[in-house]
Amino acid sequence: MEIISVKSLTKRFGNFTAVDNISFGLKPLTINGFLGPNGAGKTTTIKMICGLLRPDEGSIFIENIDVIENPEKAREKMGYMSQNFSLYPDLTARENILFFADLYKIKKSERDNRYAELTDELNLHEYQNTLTSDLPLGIRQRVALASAVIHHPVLLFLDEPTSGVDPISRMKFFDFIRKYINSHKATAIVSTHFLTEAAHCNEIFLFNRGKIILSGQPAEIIQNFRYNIFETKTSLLTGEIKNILNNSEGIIEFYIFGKRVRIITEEDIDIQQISVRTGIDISNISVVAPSFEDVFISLTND
Amino acid sequence: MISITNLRKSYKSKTDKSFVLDIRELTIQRGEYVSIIGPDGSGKSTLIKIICGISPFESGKVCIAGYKLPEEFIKARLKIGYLSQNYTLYKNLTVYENMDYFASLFGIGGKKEKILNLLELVGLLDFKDRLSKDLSGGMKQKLSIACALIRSPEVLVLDEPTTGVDPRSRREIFSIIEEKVAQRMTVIFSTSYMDEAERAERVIIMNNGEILRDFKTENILNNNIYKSIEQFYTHIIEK
Repeated sequence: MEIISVKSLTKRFGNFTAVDNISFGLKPLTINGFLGPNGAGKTTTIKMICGLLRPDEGSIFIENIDVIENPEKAREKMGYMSQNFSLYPDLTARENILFFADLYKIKKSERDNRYAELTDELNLHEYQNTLTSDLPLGIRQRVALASAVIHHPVLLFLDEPTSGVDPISRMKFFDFIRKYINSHKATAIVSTHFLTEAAHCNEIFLFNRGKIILSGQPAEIIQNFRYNIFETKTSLLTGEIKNILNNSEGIIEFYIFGKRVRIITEEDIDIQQISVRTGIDISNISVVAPSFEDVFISLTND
Repeated sequence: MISITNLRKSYKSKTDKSFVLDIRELTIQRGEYVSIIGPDGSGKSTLIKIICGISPFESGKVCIAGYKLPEEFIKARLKIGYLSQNYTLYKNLTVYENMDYFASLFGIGGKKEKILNLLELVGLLDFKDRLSKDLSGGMKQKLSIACALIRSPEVLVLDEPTTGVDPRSRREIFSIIEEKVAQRMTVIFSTSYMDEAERAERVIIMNNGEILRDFKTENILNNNIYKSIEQFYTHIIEK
């Protein structure tokens, strides 16, 4: 059974359709990445799922609860973590976590057990009595996570949860998430700009202009990428390269990095054609495997 | 361009942990492109702030573009463009006015042409009359870089330049940075993203206030042991 099921969801603000008839379902034991440029509709979708914004059309069910009819009951099933907004800076780590426990009306005995469990699992012992405003970023993220899962939610929202920390902290963070969703048969939604976070997801949903334009496993998405990517070294001036590439057909996008140029083209353009069009010797051009960033950038082209 | 010997700075953090930055020797030549990585609290930002002359230190020799810190700070800072982790823009000024303000601050002559050129470089010329508070995260960051470049610095120092920035702007930011690298500007940046670190020609890994490793990127990537800087980093730090 799906943990969350969204059907034909639409939200308009005046003439602007922020979310345009989207449907998806999320199974337990999955980490799902919501990606897309600013204004693509990710946040509006999440706000509707959280019951904070009423959709114009469509339905949202979390397990068997109708979110639109019964937002408060649905919210008991959800945990929300945003690195920026979810902690009170003038409370200690401990006070923050317990505050969230109390919001969810967890009984004191159970609350204290759960608190001990989470401080253990997230290695928070030495920081319990420090104001969260004085904690380093990586620790603050862990406190926010503890606060988000204290009530055993089955649907976890994580908003750029690991931005600004090193790969090891990021890996540990996602290890915890993985364990959590396994033990709780839960599902997580990671909303992010960072493709390093997307790499930890089972499934990716790429939003653009209010629609989900692509979904699938990260490896699958890269495999299905239909454009070609070339890199070349050149001694041409930036203006000259821009001139040539802006006037060439079949070029989706290009980025100049000093003397290197990365070119994304339609799939029918090969290395020879690139050489002819740019006047760059073929030995100076190489075919590059697409990164997730290339996929993101070319598909969310305005 | 940058030379540091026996640098030491210590303080007690708010979490009551004492922190010591201890750098025996660090030299960065003109035109080098260097990234600094390391765990949260390893001293990346502290080192960057010392290089930019805005953080005091207890002992050691720090020389920037031939000027000794802290004594010749005023002269040194004209040589450095610095992008801090927090936006330093005036939100009620337009894009152009922000640039104009920084240009006046540093007594830049012929500033109008310079400003317009820089705004073109960072792709904000069409937005020059927009209030900076109405810019997206990526645009704010690009404007901050333009402000840092207005004094034509010899060294550009950026503390986590892509935090809070979407993938497209992230590419554009590196496009700006690497155009400057191609023009032989010395560029140093810190990051928590290993694919960004890998773009630089030289990588410095910091841990517990010390330089743990300092190497040419290609030396690690060409030796066929590590596929990426991320692999190397994870291996080194976990050890």
